Amino acid sequence: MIAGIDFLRPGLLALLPLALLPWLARGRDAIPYAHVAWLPPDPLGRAAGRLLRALGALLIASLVIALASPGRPESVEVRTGRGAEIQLLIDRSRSMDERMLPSDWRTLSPHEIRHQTRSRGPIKSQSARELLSSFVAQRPDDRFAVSFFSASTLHVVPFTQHDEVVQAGIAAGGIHRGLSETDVGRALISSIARFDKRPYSGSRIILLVSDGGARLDEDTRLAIRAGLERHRIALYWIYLKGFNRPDLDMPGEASEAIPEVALHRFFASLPTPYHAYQAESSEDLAAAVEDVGRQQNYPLDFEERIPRQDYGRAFIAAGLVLAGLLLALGRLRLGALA
Amino acid sequence: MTTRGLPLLLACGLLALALAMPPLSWSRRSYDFLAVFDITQSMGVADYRLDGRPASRLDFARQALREALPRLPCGSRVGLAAFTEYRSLMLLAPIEVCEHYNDLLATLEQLDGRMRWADASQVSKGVYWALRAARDIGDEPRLLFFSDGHESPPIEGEGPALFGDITRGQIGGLIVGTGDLAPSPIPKVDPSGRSRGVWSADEVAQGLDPDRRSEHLSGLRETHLQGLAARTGLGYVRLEDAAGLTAAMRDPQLARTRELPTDLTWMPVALALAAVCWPALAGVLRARRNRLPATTDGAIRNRAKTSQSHHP
Repeated sequence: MIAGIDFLRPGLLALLPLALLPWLARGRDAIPYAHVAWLPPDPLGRAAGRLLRALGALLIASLVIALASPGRPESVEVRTGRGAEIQLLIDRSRSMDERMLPSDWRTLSPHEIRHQTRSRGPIKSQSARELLSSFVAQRPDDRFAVSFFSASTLHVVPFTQHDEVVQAGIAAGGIHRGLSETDVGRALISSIARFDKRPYSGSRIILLVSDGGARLDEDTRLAIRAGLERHRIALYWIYLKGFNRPDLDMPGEASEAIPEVALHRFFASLPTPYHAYQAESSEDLAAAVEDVGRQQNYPLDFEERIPRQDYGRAFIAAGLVLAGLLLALGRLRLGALA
Repeated sequence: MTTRGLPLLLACGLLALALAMPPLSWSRRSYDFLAVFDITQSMGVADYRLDGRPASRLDFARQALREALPRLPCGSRVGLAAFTEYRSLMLLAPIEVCEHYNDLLATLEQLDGRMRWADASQVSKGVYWALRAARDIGDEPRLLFFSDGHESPPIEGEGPALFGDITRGQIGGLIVGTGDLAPSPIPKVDPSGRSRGVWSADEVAQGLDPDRRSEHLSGLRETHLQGLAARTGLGYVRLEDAAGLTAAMRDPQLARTRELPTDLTWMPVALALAAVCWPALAGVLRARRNRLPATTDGAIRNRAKTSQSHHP
């Protein structure tokens, strides 16, 4: 079989011997003539008969092949585009079910905000998912992986370029409330491990989306630092700041005790690139996501999926031409004989 | 026009039609499932065999689904979720199985005990939460819940009642009983995935009855799962092999008909092929039936025809 061609219904190729029919069947339109041997030899007529049979055989063969649905199988081509490998690491803890500031929060008094954030304003995890979803949709050249974390890390979608799968992973995160605990240190270490044995093909990012911090122990810090450095991964943290939660850049020694601030300071001390985006409202969040999109546009080798190409229509067209030809030739011949 | 030209003319028309026709929408049967895997520790019991080697319940269940996926008609959609503690957590919303087969396998590959966010195993509630998830994800996929039915802590009596916001039979589907009926010790695995021997009788929560301290052993608790199935309106099937699972999944009662763009080009092409082959085929058959060599001699042929008519 020709390399690079496959059939969707290969079993139908068993019908190919039908193409022998024109050679087996004798002409039905033969003229009754008792003394064939007396007729002068007719090389032209013989040649015409062979031609008609050959065309008939080709016609049957092309229809059988068309039915077997030939085509070039789906293939993958490596191209260089602009983009990044982005590991989405999304907090699925219970606090992510809380609300962000409502869009008109600037017009409200602190007292009103305190009361209204419980009833108004978008839910953190929901707006994060919506924005990430449109972020993914706008960046077809990037490769995404989706993971959620709580006490354990749930790696849902490994690196893929198939937008729909990434979206299905993000959408699944919206079903029902979050889990109780979070372990951001473990989640980061196991997300870094996702780059193990992956050939370096361009810019790499872990995009952490979380509303809380953690004071990491020394071993965890070392593992994160070494891992990010080894795999050359940039870390982006979209910090969904709840009302009355601390600012990441809160100064002073004492604020080291605040988990969010401690985590931010550790990240900032890393030798690898780090950006923090503090988002209090969904507008902040949108701006942060947009900025991440602007930052990372470096050459990236990516695989483009070339869908299966069907050649069936070409064979149908060939069949149509052959049938037309036979029709025309048959009339000519019969006309000549009449 | 001679009769000889007619089949060719017909073929021309049919082939032109085949080239011109757009894909038509056709209602076809397909299957939507939310497959939930129990990832609690008892699912680590290796009481199945895969390729001649012992395989854990979870590995065997995943392998069975892996083999069932390509046997679902295109247009079917499958989503994935994991159960531990008391909840079934949705991991991947349902996606189409033919186009995303490899992605589904990739996610399935990662669905294992390392995802376990807590260690309890309240299977009844897990099933109820899974029903909720199937209801809330949209398009109401059927449920496919793989579990050995091992409740930890053990339940007394029937266990918790079905949640009030779900009615019995609201979501169809199957509970797939996974494991051997004979109890086995449960491998103990720490959070980082390292093996730590097996659970002993003193390490697990036992039932109230002091004579039945067997919660550290796990076998397929079929009666419990069947009861759960009856309470929720789900079907029950025991997981024996991939073929059995596929057959259970392809139950027409679980199917849904969906308008799918269908390429019906083959129909006119097949008819054209028949039209082109028929005269020649008929000629060959006739010649064979007459047991006479095909000939151009009309006289012999005519005689053969008359003699044939005397035969029954």
